Amino acid sequence: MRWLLAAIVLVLSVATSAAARAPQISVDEPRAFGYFLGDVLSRRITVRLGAGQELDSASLPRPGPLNYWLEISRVDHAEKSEGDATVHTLDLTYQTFYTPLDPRRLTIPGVKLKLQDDSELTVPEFSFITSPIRQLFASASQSTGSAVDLQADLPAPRLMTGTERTALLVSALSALIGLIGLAWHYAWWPFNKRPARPFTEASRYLRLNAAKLDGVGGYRDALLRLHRAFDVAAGRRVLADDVPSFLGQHPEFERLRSGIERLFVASRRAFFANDVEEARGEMPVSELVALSSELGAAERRAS
Amino acid sequence: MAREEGVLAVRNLQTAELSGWRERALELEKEVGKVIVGQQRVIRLLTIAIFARGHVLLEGDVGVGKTTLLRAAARGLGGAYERVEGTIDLMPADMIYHTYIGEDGRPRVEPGPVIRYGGDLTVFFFNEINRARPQVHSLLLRLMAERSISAFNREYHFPYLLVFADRNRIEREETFELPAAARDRFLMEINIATPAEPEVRRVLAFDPRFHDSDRLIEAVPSGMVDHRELPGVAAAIQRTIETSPDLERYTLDLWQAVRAPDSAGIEIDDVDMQRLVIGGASPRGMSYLLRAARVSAWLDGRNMVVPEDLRAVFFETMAHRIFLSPIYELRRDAIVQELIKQLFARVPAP
Repeated sequence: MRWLLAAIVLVLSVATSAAARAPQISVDEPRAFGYFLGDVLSRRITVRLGAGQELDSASLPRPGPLNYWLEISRVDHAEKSEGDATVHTLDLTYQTFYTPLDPRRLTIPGVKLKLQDDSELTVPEFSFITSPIRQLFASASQSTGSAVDLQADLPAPRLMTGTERTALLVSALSALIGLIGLAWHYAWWPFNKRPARPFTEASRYLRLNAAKLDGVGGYRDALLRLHRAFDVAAGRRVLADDVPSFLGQHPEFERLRSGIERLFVASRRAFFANDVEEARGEMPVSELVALSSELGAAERRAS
Repeated sequence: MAREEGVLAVRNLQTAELSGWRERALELEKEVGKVIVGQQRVIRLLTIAIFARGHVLLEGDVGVGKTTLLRAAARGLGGAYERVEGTIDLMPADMIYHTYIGEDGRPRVEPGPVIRYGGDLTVFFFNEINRARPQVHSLLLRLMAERSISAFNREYHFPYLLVFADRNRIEREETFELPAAARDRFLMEINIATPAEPEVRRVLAFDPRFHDSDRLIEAVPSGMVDHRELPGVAAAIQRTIETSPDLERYTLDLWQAVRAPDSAGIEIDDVDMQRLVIGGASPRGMSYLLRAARVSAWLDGRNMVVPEDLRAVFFETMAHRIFLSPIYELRRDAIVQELIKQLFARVPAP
């Protein structure tokens, strides 16, 4: 309504004093009552300048404190031309920090705008009524003993996270699929199918338990470990007579032929001739350990 | 009486003599190998059977030398030799009694092929055994298991007897499958295949020496091994060659794995391993297996049985004692071969 009124006045004034070309100023004010501490007031000032008139932009107000209770928090300036005239729109946002003890009228001071020809335009001051937000003497709270009853905090609003969760799942899934594909491509675990290293394992066991394997039972255990390693390497059970064919299939161990043959002779003596002592004399545990580490080394070189 | 002689022989036999016997066994193997070329493994198995005192069934194609091999081995063994042809009209009585009309026109009954030589009968060679009727197979059961027979109201004992039989696998018409009980009494069932090596094939086809099998067999010196001492030697071998607790455990593992192949992790294509084996691998079979394995160890010059010995004789001593579910019987050969191959590939030794 006020806009309409201002427009009519403007149109009338333009119509009646078009020849004067005097700068015209109109202010669109906010309501003049019902403000509290920290509230914001917006004023829109419209300045219509005739041809040849120009606003001195240095005279525009700047954001910042005006006095101890008022602050300009924001200044928006826009300009557009309408025919010969130029229309400046100035949006001023004020914030009041006044703490009134009773409803009170305060005044925002007027603004002086300068034109290039040193003439001044005055934006009128604006007064509004501000009120306290609490009673002057608060009744003492029985529970806290405080003079002021603080309002309870608002409960934190719940954030809607469904979209984010779905997005997280989708991206995690696609990352996983990508990782699996990459692992497959580069033959990482578990797609590596790296051949087992039975001799390396047997060698590790023998080396770590060399002291424990010195007895009769331990010697048998050591031989069994080596037998199982041969079995795994060959993919079948390797008996003493199979040693040549085993070496034919695994030429990497050919260098150790004599040691392997001695091992099988000792094993045959220990297991099938009931003569563990003699077998230990023939090939003591230390030699088993040495042979197993050589086998392990040969196996690692080959793979 | 003959049995007592055997026991005495065992007592008297020294280890040194055993090694002498081993020389003779290898000699016999070599001489037979000159007659039957390209079959070293079969000849070795036959030698094992002879020294394990076990009966042998040979099978294979026609004309691969089954009969020649058995005749050559019988000649090397010496002792009385009898041969019977399996025919569809052969009856048990024909093997025991010989009936004819005498010159004076009276019917006569005389001992037939089995009892003609009495206790001295060493090799009883049954040719084409699957052509004989089941009645004849039943007669063989007792002859093989107990080495004795009843005739003329008395018992005949054959302490040196070895039954060699052969059959061909090609023909099925007018033949009778051997009952399981009879097959179980053979120590080994040996399959003879045509030699694969080109050189052996060339010699067999072109060398005139192999054209006349009678003269060929005469090349084997007769009686290289004294058949009367064989039971004693065989018992001494069984007593001398040792088996360790580990080998016993291994043998029992093998036995268990044959009876329950799925528990040993054996897998054969298109075969439900839980239903495959329905029986067999009898205790007698296992004792035969150990007998043969001991002889194999002895022939290799060892005084202990090792897993290789079991493996060398396992197929021939055990394959025919494994009874499969009927739906797998038609594919029997392939399945049993794969079963035993995997058995030795999977059961850990020692």
